[in-house]
Amino acid sequence: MLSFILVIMEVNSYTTSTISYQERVAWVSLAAFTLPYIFYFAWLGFKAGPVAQMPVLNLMLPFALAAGSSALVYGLGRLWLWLRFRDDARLPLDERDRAIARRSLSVAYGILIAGMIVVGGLMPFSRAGWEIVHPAVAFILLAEIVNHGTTIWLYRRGCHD
Amino acid sequence: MTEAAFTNSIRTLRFLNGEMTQAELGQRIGVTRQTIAAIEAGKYSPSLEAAFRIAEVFGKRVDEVFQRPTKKSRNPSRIRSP
Repeated sequence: MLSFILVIMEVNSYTTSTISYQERVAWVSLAAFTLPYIFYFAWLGFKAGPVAQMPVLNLMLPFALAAGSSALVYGLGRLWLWLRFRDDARLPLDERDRAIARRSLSVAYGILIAGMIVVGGLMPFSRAGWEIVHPAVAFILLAEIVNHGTTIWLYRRGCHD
Repeated sequence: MTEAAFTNSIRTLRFLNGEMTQAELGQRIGVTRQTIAAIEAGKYSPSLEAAFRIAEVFGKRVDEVFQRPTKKSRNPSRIRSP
């Protein structure tokens, strides 16, 4: 999946590419926040036994693996982008980049707040431990995915304030 | 694609001004080449400041660079009462 995304980014040459550097960063971020955690939550969903009864290490290890993979994907992706598109990387954010970032963050912020209200305000009355941690992580990931997905969508489809 | 409120003649003006590239125009007004491409394609509406800067680069008024599409009358034979 990551290589597919990287290939997409290589389609246009530098001089003719209309893909903004920030959009490329958003693609890398989206990959980093979806791929590793899809496997983690899939494993969580299909494993045998309730979460509350599992030893802590049995949960911490896969989660650490997912988080580490996410950081690795993000780090390698950003490094590759910086090496491949160094001239674009050096440019400061312009008004279009800032406008798109503002709109993406405002959408993601709403999701994050809603998630924190559910996780922090409602769930403690009926759940505990990992049964709260996992939804909290899921909401944070959802906010990040929405943030970067909205960024990509606005770069692709257009942004008119 | 989200509809732009304005059309523009930036691409034409660039070619008429020594075949200026998108990168050159972007550098002169303080935006990236990709933003200029997005403006030309109607995918981004520039700020007022950027629009004025673009116009100044070409020595034109803002309304000569950016145009608002006029709505065609749906029933041209309809007579409005005074």
